[in-house]
Amino acid sequence: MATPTFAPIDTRKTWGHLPSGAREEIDVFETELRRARAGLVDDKVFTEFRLRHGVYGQRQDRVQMQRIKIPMGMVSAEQLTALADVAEEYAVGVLHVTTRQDFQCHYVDIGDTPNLMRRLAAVGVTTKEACGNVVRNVTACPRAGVCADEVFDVTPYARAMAYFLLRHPDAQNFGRKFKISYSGCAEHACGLGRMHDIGAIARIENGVKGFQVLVGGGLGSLPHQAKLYSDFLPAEEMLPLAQAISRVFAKLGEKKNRAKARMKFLIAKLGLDDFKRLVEEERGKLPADPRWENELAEAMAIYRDEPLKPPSELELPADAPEALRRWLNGNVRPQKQRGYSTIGVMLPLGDIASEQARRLAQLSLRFTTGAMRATVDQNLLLRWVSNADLPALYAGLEEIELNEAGAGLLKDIVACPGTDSCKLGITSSRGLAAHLHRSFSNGLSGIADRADLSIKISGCFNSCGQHHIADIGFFGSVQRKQNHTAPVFQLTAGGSLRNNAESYGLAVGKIPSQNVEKAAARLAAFYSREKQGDETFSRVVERLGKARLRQELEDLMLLPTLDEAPEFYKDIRQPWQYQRSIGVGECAGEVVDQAEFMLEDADRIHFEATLDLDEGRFAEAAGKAFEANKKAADALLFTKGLWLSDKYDTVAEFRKLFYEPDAFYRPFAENFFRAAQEGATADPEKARLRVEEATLFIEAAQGVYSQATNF
Amino acid sequence: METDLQRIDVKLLLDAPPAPNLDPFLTIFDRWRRMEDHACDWVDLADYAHMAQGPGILIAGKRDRYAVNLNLPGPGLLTSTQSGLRGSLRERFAEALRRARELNAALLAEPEFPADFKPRTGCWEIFVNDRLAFPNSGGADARIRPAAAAAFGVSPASLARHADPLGRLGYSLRARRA
Repeated sequence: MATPTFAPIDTRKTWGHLPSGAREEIDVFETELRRARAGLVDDKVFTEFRLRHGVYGQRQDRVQMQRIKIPMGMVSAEQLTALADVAEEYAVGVLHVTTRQDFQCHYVDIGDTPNLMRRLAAVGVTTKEACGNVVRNVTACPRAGVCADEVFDVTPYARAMAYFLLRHPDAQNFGRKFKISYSGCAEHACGLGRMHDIGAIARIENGVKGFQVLVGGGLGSLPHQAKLYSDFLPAEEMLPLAQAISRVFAKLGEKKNRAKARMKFLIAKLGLDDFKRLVEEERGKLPADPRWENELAEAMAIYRDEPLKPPSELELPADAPEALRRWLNGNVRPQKQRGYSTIGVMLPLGDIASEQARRLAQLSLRFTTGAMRATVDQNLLLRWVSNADLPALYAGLEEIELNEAGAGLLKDIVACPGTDSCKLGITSSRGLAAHLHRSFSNGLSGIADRADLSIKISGCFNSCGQHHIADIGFFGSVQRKQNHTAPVFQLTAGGSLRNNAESYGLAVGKIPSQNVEKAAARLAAFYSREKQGDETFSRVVERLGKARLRQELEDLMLLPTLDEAPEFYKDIRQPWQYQRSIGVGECAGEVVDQAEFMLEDADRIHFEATLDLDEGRFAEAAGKAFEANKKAADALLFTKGLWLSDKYDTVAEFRKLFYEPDAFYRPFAENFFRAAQEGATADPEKARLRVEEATLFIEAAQGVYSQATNF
Repeated sequence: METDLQRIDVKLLLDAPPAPNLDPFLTIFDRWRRMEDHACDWVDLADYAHMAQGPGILIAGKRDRYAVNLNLPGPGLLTSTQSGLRGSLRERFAEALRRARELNAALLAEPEFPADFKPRTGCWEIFVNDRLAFPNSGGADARIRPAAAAAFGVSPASLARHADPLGRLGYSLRARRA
């Protein structure tokens, strides 16, 4: 008999070396992909399903961006090599580092994503929950463990959080994404805790390690500063707290209006005190979970942060080249461990070519153990470089053209993808960033290496480029004049990275794209002129006011007509007429109730049972039929407020909540109860019966769900 | 049965000035991407000119990708086939080379093609962009080399296999004709 084209994928033979959980998860993904292509899965459900595997639709038709989750940006040489290989074969040979310490590949064919995922799974990397309405990549200071300012190394705590919430049933029913960060100290920028749903900042009280906990922060079009939830929470309480917050957010968070669905809006609506009360109630109800301790114990046990070589001091010869000196000043920072340094490898616009990435991985193994971290500035960080090795490392980086000085300085601009690939992009943020990057080696070279200013650019108001927290932020917009539309950037000023992103910049005015370079130069000069003592840019803006700043830039804000200056109606690095074109973005994902996912799962498993039946695998068929039945029952129980993490007895609860009140067709429910009682069977007749009964049960469950949700 | 190899990279090297200005290719590829019913099934162009190495300026299609590429050993016109290859390995390499020549000829004929970019006739880099089916191994080399050489009309010994064991299976060809 011919195998149906959407038969379940089983790669035990070819990918048997992968951890079974990861392999099976990707097999299910590929099965669902085929089912979706055959029209067997609802589009909305599949969109959110693929997003939860990191597969994101690009602006361009028929191609995807694959986001790859790298908790805390921790990437080994082996992993970086695998990432480089998949980017080369399935994308365009470029790895892009994001502001959440993820990696992304663009122009991927969705048909290639299963093998891409498998090759990454082979080196312990997952794409699971990289996008969609779930807990996104947990970020942390890339210098954790080696930074002189930190209270303690947050790495294992952040790792425990990342893996505890990954695939956690309580974190699957959000109306929007959810972001968590860990910072080692309160003062510096690395963790950006105040712009996260949960920001954890390391503290020690009476010798006990713990965290100051901030909640409800976020950027986006309406940025919110996180609020203080707890001044000190012992470290072992972080995972249960996050679980309790997840449950409150999943239960009460907005699901229909996606513009108001982040947790910051829920906290604003409830008020912090009520929110805290609800979280504490939920925390009190949580059944104890051994993973609260085990995840941290495992993270502690596997965490290795050590040098390859003994410490040493750098003795720079008097005739050392100027380029090396600039790189040492700009990219190298001493670690708290004497004799070692961290090295910022500056990636223009966060991009690194596959060939460069592979050779960087080799270089990292020559000088360190190969443990690198991606940073929220879209760079890579090498750690534990013995100081005497710095010139040799520089030479190695020079060979692969990754020796540019200036990581973390003004020239190191952060930008989101903008109209290059994002459906929501209004202007070319990357085009502007590339243009400024080039200018910093030319017309703007006088200000390129300033450490007291930062520029961040978003292609629209959604702040993926984090423009709100830059000294000088730009986000894409448009302006019309005489029926022609020009790309412009709204300037935001006064944001601050300090104190974990303590303040957000406010809009000053719109500047035509073609004038942004001049505006940046003028703002830098303005700051130099007006600065008093060690005042930051945000303090100067605060002291002098936005009106004064606007006055400084007034002539650059004027948009000429198309006849006067046609180039103003083209975007930066885009020599064609500008046209505003916005699609439906996928940042917000699709709001798919967890019950819908469970019913889809039930359907898929039931289909697998029918195939087993056809092939004469009766025990498997009966087992899967029951599993599908149980999945559908769990879906309905979820609508009654029962969470999988409660570890309830499905049959007992279904009897109580659906059978006894007559809320489900009784004969079908009785079939389910009987199958549960009888247990496994390999009898062909019984197996066939179970599959048929499962068909009826799932159909009925879908009917009950539809009625309950008014579809 | 032959393995279904679809991803072959063929790069014709260019003599170009250091830190070449790739901006003219934005204009050219913008025009190309608007061509309807082009065999390459263009999707869009992508600008990576800010990178010292990498795809430079690229136009992505569902059948092929094409770029003024800056990867080592130097700038070149890179055709990356994605789909539509059929037949024996030899036929697939021949088709990849045919597509590359067609795209190169079209690009060289464009009025904006920079005068200081000169094709290095006979200097090609060839990659098998499929490590799962053709890892960088002696066995894969034995299968690929004769097919690739035949497509270029040279002897198998003319293809110098790339030494980097971590890279893809790849060859350099420096021939007078080819």
